[in-house]
Amino acid sequence: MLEEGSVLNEKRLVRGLQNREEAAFNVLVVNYQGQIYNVCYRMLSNSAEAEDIAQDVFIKAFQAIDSFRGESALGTWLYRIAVNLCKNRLKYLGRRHYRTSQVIEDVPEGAFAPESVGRATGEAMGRPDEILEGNRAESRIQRALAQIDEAFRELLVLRDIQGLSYAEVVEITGLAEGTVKSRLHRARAALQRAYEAQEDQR
Amino acid sequence: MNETFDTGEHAQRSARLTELLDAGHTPTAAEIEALLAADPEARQALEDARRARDLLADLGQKAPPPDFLRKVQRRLGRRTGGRFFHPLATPVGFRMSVEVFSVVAIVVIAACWFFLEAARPRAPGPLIEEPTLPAAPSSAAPFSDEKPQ
Repeated sequence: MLEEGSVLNEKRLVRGLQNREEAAFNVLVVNYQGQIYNVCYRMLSNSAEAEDIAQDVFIKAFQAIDSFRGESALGTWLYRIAVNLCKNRLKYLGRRHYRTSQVIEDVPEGAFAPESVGRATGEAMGRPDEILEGNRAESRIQRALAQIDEAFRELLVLRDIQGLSYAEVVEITGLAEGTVKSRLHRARAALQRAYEAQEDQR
Repeated sequence: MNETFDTGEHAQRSARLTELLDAGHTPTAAEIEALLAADPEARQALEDARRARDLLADLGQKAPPPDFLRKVQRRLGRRTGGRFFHPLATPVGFRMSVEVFSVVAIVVIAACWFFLEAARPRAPGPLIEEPTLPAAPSSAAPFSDEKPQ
């Protein structure tokens, strides 16, 4: 639930975007780049593709800002654009026989990146070997995510990774709430099976 | 995605289990037990769902590269020729691309010039005697189709 102040700020931001103010565009990107990039990365499992699509999200949003009527939150609208662009990219890549599960960047031996470590996979840890293990765990989860159906992945990313409410997920996907919940149940089970299959292969 | 899985009793049960799981119930709660009694295979699926949800909750936010904003600005500039941020975009109350604005400005200037020129009083020019035409011959023209009398 947004506070009144943030709604006002959002209205001002939208007005600035509609007036084609460069400062408003910069605020839009700075405010939402983390969420949008994360959604794109989790959907596509590739940082270069994710960056490309995330950039496109902001450009498309800026070009289509006049069609934003304020019926949903700006963030929800951006998520919808992001999810649609990711699906289109996945279709395009699918036609070119691209498999997301094959291109997830493996964490190289000795490499560690504290800024990208997950909340429980390494944030509280300080030692490089622990951070590296955290990164590897995250990589395994991402690989499992890439192996499941795209429609399942979309719901897991929005609900379980981004932590959106059911109302927001319904708005973004256009699915009925009951459908979202039943698919989510099957999506989680599918992810767990994919994750366990990887663990068995280790 | 098979749409038939999204309808029917099984889907309703899945949706209800998701609601209960997300509401913070443990899989031993009485309401879940009642639901699972109708579908024994669902117990494993529920446990899988709970584990997967916890796995994903642990996943961190992947941060964009630090120069992300600059890259987006550059791409926007390339795509639009920079006209989206043009200062001429708003003072007239509506947006107009620079190309349209230029054409309108040229038409307006040309129209103003034309009307100013048309309205300007002309200075009297030097008197020129109009040349007199030679008198026409009295008889019929040599190539006339009149019949001779």
